[in-house]
Amino acid sequence: MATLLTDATRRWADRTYPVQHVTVAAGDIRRFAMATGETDPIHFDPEAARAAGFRDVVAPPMFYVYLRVLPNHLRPRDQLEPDGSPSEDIPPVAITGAMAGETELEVDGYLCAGDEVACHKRLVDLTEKVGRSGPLLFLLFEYRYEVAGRTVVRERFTRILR
Amino acid sequence: MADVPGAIRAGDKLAALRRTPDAVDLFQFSAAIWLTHRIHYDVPYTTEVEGHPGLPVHGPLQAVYLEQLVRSDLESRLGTRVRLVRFRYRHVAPAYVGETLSCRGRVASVDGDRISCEVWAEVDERRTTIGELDVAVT
Repeated sequence: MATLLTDATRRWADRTYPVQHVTVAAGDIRRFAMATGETDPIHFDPEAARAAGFRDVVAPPMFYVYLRVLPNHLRPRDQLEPDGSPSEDIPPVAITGAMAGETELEVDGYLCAGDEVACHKRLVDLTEKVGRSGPLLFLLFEYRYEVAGRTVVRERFTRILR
Repeated sequence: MADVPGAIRAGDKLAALRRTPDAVDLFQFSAAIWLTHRIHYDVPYTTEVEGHPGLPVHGPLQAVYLEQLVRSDLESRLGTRVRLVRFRYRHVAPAYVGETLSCRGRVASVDGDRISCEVWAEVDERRTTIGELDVAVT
């Protein structure tokens, strides 16, 4: 039977990802907050943020998406595919399609302007299941965003290949 | 950490939030997260090459709307801030520019300082994103 869990897939799965460092600027938070229609001054004004008990301008909770997308997309133009995105991080096997599965997010605290965030990525699990149309490969990635050694956001994201 | 006041109960409906993102909203979101993928801004490419009927609304932007739905409903009812602690979501159908996303939800359970909600975004009663979201009362 056909399988996507080949030796090439297993070798690919052994890779490690370098930690990416992003310093969050007040302007990054302001831009995200404006783009998503936030109006609370804690996202725009350091004084308002401090008065509300935050150390500086505080990011809305879904701001972490910026930390996932930026390090992957901010690369020289010739390293982007014709569709404008970086090459997908998938094993070197013949597939006919890729789908996004579930995202699970755990948040412990807040991200604020000035935070130096260490962005960790790893492949947690690789499982093959047989679907009606043939083999399906489930890749479970974990992204972890750490400030001063403490995990603020942990995201688990499943990608499904067929 | 205070317990959730008794005014919030399992089964409570959240006040629906409607969003009709246009091309400017999609551009701003792509720019804010530095997402360079063409399907959120290049109409000829997206329709002719990728075969979409229009520009798809980013999945994470729909997740943003769902988080805002819970935050705005609960914060206005509680009169205090709530903090996101867990969010599980999945995109089940595409949504396109110009379509109105109705973001809805209900309180699933209340435990100590935690409130769990079931949430979804729909276009003409077709669900596009579904999820479960927990917040803590601060």
